[in-house]
Amino acid sequence: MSIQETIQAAAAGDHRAFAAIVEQYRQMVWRVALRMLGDPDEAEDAVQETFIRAWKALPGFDRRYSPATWLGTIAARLCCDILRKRSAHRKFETDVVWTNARERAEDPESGSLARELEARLRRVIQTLSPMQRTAFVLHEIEQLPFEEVRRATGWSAVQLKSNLYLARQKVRKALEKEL
Amino acid sequence: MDKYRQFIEDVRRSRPQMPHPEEVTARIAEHTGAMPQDTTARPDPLRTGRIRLAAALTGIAAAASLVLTLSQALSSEGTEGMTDVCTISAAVAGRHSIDRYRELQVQARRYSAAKARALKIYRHENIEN
Repeated sequence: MSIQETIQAAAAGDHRAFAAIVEQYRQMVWRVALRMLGDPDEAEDAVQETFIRAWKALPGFDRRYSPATWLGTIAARLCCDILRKRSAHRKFETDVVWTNARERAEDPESGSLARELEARLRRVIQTLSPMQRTAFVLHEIEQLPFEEVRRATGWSAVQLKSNLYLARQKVRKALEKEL
Repeated sequence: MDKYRQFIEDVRRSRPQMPHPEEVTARIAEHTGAMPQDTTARPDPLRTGRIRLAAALTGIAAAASLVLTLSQALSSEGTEGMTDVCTISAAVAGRHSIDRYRELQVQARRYSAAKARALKIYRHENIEN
C-alpha cells in the first residue's frame, strides 16, 4: 500500500493505517519538535499532540503535500505556540535548555559527536524567532521542498524567503561566535 | 565548504532518535485508537474477557444469594411470605421479619445493579464487535 493510499484509508477511519503513519513519521516529527524546542521530553509531548491533531485533520488532508511536510508543519505550528507561551518566561527557557545541554555534555555517553552537534544546534537555534525556526528546521534541516513548506505554513514566498534568510544569517553569526 | 555549510550537512546527517517511541505511540493510540500490531503497549486482549467473566460471576453470586435468602425467608415465615416476600407486612411479621425484609431489599438492589452492569458490558462488547 502506498503512503497516499495509507493516508486515504486512515482518513476513512482505518486505525491500523493511521498507526502505520505514526510508525513511519514519528521520528521525523520528533526531530522537528526537538530542534524547534530544544528539549527531548517536550518534543515527545509535541509528537503526541501533533499526531492527535493530524488524526482530527485527516479528512481534510491536502494531497498536494507530502505527509512529511504536512506533519512537519503541524509540529512546527504547535512548537511555535509553545515557544510563544514560553517567551513570557524567556529566562526560564534559556536556563532549561542550557542546563539540559550541559547535563548531556557531562553524561559519559554524550561525548559522541552527534550529541555535541545537537547541543551546538540547540544553542544557535535559540537565537531564532519561532517563524525563523520553522523555516530553518523544515526547509534547511529536514529539506522539505520550499513550495510545500510555503503552502503548508500558509506563508507567502517572500515571507518564507525572508525568514530563511534571517535564520541563515543568525546561525552563521552564532557559529562564528563559537570560535 | 564554509563553516555554515559544513554545520548544516552534519546536522542533516545526524538523525537523533526519540528515546521512548513505543510509549509515545501508545499515548497517541489512547487518543486516536490507532494501536499498531507490534506494540507491547497494546491492551491485554484477555482484559475484556476477564471483565465479562467477573460481571457474570458477580451476577450469579448475587442471584444465588438472593435465592438462598428468599428460601430461608419463606421457610422461616411460613405461608405468609410465600405470596410476596417483598411485601411482608411489618405489623404481621414483627421485628425479626422487618430486618429480614430490609436485608432482602438490599440483596435485590445488589442483584439489579449486578445485572445492569453485566448487560451494559454485554451491549458495549456487541457494539465494539
